[in-house]
Amino acid sequence: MKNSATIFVALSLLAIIVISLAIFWPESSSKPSDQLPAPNLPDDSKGNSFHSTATINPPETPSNNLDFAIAQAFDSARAKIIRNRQSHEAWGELGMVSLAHELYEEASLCFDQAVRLKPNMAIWHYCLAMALMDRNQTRALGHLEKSANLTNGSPTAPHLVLIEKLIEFDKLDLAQTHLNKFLQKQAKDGRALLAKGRLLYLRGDDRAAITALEQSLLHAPGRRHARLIMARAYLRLGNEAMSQKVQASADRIGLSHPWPDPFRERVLSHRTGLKHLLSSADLALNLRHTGKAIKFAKKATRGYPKSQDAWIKLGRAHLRLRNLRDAATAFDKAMAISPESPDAMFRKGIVHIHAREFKKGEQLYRKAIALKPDFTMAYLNLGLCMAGQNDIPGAIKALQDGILIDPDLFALRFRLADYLLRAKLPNKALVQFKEALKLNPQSQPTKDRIAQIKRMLAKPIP
Amino acid sequence: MRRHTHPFLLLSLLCLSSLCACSDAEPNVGVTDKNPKDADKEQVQNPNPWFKDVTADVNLKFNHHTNSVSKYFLPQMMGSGAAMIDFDSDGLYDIYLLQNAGPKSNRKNQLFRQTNSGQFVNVSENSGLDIAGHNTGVAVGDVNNDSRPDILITQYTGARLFLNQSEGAIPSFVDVTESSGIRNPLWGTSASFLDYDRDGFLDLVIVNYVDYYDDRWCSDSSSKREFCGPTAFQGRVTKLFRNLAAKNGVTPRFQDVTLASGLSVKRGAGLGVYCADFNGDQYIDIFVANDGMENHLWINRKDGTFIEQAAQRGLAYNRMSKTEGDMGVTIGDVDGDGLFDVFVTHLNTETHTLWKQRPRGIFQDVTSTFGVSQTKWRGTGFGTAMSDFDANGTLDLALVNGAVLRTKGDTPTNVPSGLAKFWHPYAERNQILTNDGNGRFTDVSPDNPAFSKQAAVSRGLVVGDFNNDGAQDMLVTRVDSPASLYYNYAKTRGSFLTITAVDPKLNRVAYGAEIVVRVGDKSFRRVVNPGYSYLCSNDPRAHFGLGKVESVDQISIAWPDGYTEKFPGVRANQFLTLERGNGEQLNAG
Repeated sequence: MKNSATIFVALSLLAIIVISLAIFWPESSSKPSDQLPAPNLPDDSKGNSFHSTATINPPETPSNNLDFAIAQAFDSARAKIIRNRQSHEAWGELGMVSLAHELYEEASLCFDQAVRLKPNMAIWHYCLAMALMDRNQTRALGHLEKSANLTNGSPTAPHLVLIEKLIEFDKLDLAQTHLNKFLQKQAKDGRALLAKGRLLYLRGDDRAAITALEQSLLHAPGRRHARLIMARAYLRLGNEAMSQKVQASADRIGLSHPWPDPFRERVLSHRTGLKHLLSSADLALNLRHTGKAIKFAKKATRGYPKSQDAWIKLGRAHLRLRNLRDAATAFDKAMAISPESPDAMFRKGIVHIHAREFKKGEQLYRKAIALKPDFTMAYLNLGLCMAGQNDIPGAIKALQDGILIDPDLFALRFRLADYLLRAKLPNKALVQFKEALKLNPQSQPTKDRIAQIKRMLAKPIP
Repeated sequence: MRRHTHPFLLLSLLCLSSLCACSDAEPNVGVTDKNPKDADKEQVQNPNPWFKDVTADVNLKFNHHTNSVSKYFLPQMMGSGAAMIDFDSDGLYDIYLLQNAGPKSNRKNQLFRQTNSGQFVNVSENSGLDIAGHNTGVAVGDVNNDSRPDILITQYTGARLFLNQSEGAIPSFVDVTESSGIRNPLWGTSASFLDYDRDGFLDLVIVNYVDYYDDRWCSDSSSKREFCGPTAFQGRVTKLFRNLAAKNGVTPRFQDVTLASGLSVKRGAGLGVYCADFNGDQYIDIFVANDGMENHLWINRKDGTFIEQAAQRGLAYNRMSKTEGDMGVTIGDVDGDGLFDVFVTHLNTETHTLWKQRPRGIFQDVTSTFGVSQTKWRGTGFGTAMSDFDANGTLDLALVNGAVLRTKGDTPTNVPSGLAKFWHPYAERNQILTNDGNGRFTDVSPDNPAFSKQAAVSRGLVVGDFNNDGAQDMLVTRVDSPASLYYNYAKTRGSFLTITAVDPKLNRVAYGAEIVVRVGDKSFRRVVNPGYSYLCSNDPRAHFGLGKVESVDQISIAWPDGYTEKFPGVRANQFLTLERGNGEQLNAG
């Protein structure tokens, strides 16, 4: 008995020594400062799955008034896990459904399981990192690095996102190490060159930053950002004129497509529900993909017939194609849902203007203004309706009322000036055109009108 | 280079892993982020908290109201501000608090006068200031140079100017909006007085939010109805009104110079404002924090016009050139290098941003470097202030929080009594960050439970020395909840100096003046301007925490027109009024 106790104590001591060694062994515990420690994962190659997923339940469908389409997608993905708890794809799919709808806790739970079941699958590390980024940046960065190592440059997004996150969190040395590693393989990658320029700027090397950023300008998604940093670098170098010029060119660049990222795109492909449909319709409208916009909006009106916004989006898309009848029907539906909606009235009014039903348009705009007295665009369209009825004084009055609300809106000033000119009040028109030009110094039509009036005023009165 | 691990050690590590049931290793990259639930556990009772809630003790009874919230009417969510104002010039600061229950409500703005005993007495009735409406922001400034502070209120679709005609302790304010030429039928938020044209009269900047439609339907990621964000609407211009000098020395007259000054060329969803010299040319510039859109920095061109340069000067975006939900603004020299830095509060899914100024006129996002992102919990910040609460010679940070989108998961339980359930998912706790002297901040919120323990939908933060004890106190406004006043009783406070910079020719505090106090090789810089934070007006006096210093060597003041003079050193721990012309000229301006 005494012997067995001694053996037990000896074994325990040995175990403690082994464990202590494991903890303090330099090779396994000390990390060079320029490297992120890897996530602690099972050695999958030996089939050691020490965290069993058999007992872990997938997250319950959130009950808090979840959109029915999202709930359906969630339930369907969840059922796949119940059918096969060892399927990393099933856990990953539910994770992606959750992540696509900003259900971060559910997403991280699922991706945790997917990572455990398939530790060498880069996408799960990447997705887990995205799910954790707002709540545990430390863990997120570890998984992002793992994903970058696993993809080994194809796709590039995990490594580049890691570099950007390290820059964002002010881990500049670590970011530099990763960037150097990346550029060794892909020296001309636009996103990497943008990161290089940003890093150099943050380190105070403005000239080198500008050089790197100029190279990145060839790649569309980063053009605006590159110019923004260049403008700052030029100003810091004391070249205010160049800074102003580069900034102005940055301001002219509109929204561009994001950098390619197949993992992110796979997550986003799981988006569903009303919000997704409406934002997709909006995006399509902004990109002038009207057919797509109609498709999304129709789907929204079918799934959510009580959504005023869905009908308005559908009406806007039809209006873009000049399908006046369909547009009017959609706006009528919106107004039936929300009879006091100035927005719906405003849109329906546009249909009347296109149909040259100016009286009807006038009535709607007057009602919209009564409901929302600071509705400047309604004043503008009211002016159009009045002018359409040849009531130029009425149009001038509407626009003047609008200018009282928002004196700094170019469209109001320009239109008012135009009507003043039509009312044979060139001096007053000239004042308004000049004010309009202050608001939009690039407006060629305004410049032309000013020149026209000046010529007119210069002619001797017969 | 891939490193190999000894198989025996690997086995031991696996044993450890299974023993600890650990999940993934935590890479040590110095970025921490904690769940609010974890933060609950960290609430400790510090025996020496800095602040005590004195609201009841001083009899400050004000409950903010928003009326019905069922329509997700955004102006209700954005809250209302408050002002610290000595309306009767008795040296005791009074409080003006705004209501947001709409023009037809019987809930009206309230003015509280501070008495000699430190109690606050409601003197709203017949003051002229007890108005209803969707009142949002407030600015305080003497617009006619009669030595009495006047009040400008911004509203959802409006702004109103009240001229102070109080005699003695009886408040009397006259609405001079129409006659003065102030017209802002937009959604006004923060406002500030400044003398941008150096004519000695305070001009006015009103920041406007968005062209809002209350029937616009917005939803959260689960498609459940939610308050709309700013990007659902068009931004508005920031309005600039030039003070044309008072007619007969009494009635103020303003001219809308938005268009002429160049401010109309860019629009934004403006929420916060700070007027100061941002590029070192001794002319007052205007910084506007825009929600979800790039910020604007209007640089004064000295000819009545401005040019927008926020992007070039580094203040438009965060470090990654991204726009964020910018709300409240404060400035201060966080690391004692003689240049003020800028701090702006953001959403709880972002980090609040600290931009360090270096060199003069250029700013760089140093949020992670300076520890601002390493807080005990995350919140959507609105009102904010940099102030030396423990008077140790370095500027600390305070920010008040309240989400704009429902927080997922458990809702907080420690909310103000009477707060409607509707608001509970939006309630968040306030925060205080202390500065180590080099600009490195540490979150000390759990040590200050009076200020930080309760979760609410906080919006306005007013900072100043309400009880004239040399320490900076705080007043917090909240949506649909009582306002709270916190007095600073920090036991380990250092010395202080509080300076009122007055231009006797103008009969008023010199808004825009920059005061530098020198002690040995150290200098402490403050800008005289009560218009910062979010929707609020703060203490117009400049407070300096001095640590263990018993006296200062020199004080210099750069007056708003560039004239600079120095004043001799004084002993610490006093309230000082320095008048222009009484010092030794350094620079003619």
